[in-house]
Amino acid sequence: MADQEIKEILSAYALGCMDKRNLDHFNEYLEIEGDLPYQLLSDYVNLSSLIPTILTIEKPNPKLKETVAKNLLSLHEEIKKKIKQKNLETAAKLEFKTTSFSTESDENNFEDVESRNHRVETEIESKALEESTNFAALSTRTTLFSPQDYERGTKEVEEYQEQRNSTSPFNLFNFILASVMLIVLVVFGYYFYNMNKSLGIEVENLKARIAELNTDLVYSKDFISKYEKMIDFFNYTDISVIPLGGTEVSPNSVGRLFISQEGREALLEIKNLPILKNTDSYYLWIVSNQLSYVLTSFVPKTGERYISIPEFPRIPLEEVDLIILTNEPRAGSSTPQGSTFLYGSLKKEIKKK
Amino acid sequence: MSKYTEQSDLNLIKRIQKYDARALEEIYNRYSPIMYTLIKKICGDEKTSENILVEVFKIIWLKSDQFNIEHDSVFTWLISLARNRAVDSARRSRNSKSTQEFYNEEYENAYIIPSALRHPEKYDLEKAFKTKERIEAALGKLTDAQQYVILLAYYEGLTVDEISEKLNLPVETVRSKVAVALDNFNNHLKEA
Repeated sequence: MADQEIKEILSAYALGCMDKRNLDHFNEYLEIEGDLPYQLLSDYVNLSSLIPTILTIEKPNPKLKETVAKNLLSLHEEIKKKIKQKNLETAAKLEFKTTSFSTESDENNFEDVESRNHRVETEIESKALEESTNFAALSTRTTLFSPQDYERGTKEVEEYQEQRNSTSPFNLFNFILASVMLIVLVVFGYYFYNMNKSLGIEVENLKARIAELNTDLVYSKDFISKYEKMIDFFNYTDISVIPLGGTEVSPNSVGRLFISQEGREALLEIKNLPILKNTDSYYLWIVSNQLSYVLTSFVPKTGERYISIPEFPRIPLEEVDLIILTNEPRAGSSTPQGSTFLYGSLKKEIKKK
Repeated sequence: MSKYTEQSDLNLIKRIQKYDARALEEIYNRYSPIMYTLIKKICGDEKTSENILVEVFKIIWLKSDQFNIEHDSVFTWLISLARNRAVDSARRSRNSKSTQEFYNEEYENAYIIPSALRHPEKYDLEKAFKTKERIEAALGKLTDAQQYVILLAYYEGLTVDEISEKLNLPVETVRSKVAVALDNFNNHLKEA
């Protein structure tokens, strides 16, 4: 082709006045990278693009910017589709690469390619999602080009880039650290829970033990209050015991009289004595040489077993004929006149010994 | 804000290829006046020009991946894109609907989006406007006929055949005049 003819073609192309048929031919020629003076073609195209610079520049309506922004936002779906398509093309290329790598047996190669393809697909899907999310975040703006939004948007992009650029080992370290802390927390939690549980059981046991001891204490106090007189009395070493038996009036009643000559004290033990009238009291008599002496008079309280006799007369035990318990008027009596409830003889005991 | 205003045209296009909306905004800020002026010069009508400008930015947003980072000049690509889209619209309004080709993806890729250049002049907008006086001088040195041919071809979007018909000149003569006009413009610019 002559130089002049080439120049004519290039000029017509650069100025955009080539008719459609020639333009198609020329584009095809360009596509196959046909023999052309590309430097001259570039010069002409660049030159023609300079032509409008001499026009008096007129700014478009400022509202048009907003229209452009809104128009672009409506293209969200189209962009997502493009990203997907682009990624699929990349996947296809990667797939080709994986198959061309194979040098092993057919079976192994097949498995290898399968697994690689799966991995590539996964990578592509995540990449597509990532990019579409990025765009979605931008496209949700209604005033994309508003100055107020600009700095915020820039910041968002920077933050997003930072997030994307953040190194995975650091994230992994954070993840491991968080996991370890979580495990430690769980272990400590479990330990404290068990400790608390065992302490609770211990406290319950102690409470039960305290209640038990309280009961024992009450029982002991009761015991002491009941047997205090007897315990005190048994400090004496010369104690004589005179058993007292019931009579026809009170066949179930029994008793004992403990006498200490050294201490000149006595202690009366009673069981199953009947309850007297309000006007009467029990009188304990000692009969010696046909004379009766009152040892004590009492009205027994409920559950009372021991009646203390602080003054025992100076009568040798050998001379005591009889011990009797009678009921007498509370006003007093100088001789036994009422019914006898208990009786016993010291002489009989001495004889037994 | 400064992050984008300080970026080169090429970096902004790279960002647009990753769907960075603020990079597109910066390109809009820089190029919309000259693009709008060019479109309006071709179409004449304000409303149509605005619509076409919106369409052009839609193409940039969706098809910036067709911009070849190594082989294209941003300035040339954007001006050519705006010019092609406006001329296509002007031609459609001029011709009867029955003779028009359906505007679809394939058509847009073939006739609207500029083809890649091998040796792009590294013009950016600032450099282009700095050269404005030299361009005016170079164009001013062309004959009236040569200027008219450029006007008919570039702004009115007439094909060689249409210019031939309009000027009642043989097609070969028109082809020759177009080539001479552009060659002279190139030489004058280098001299200026």
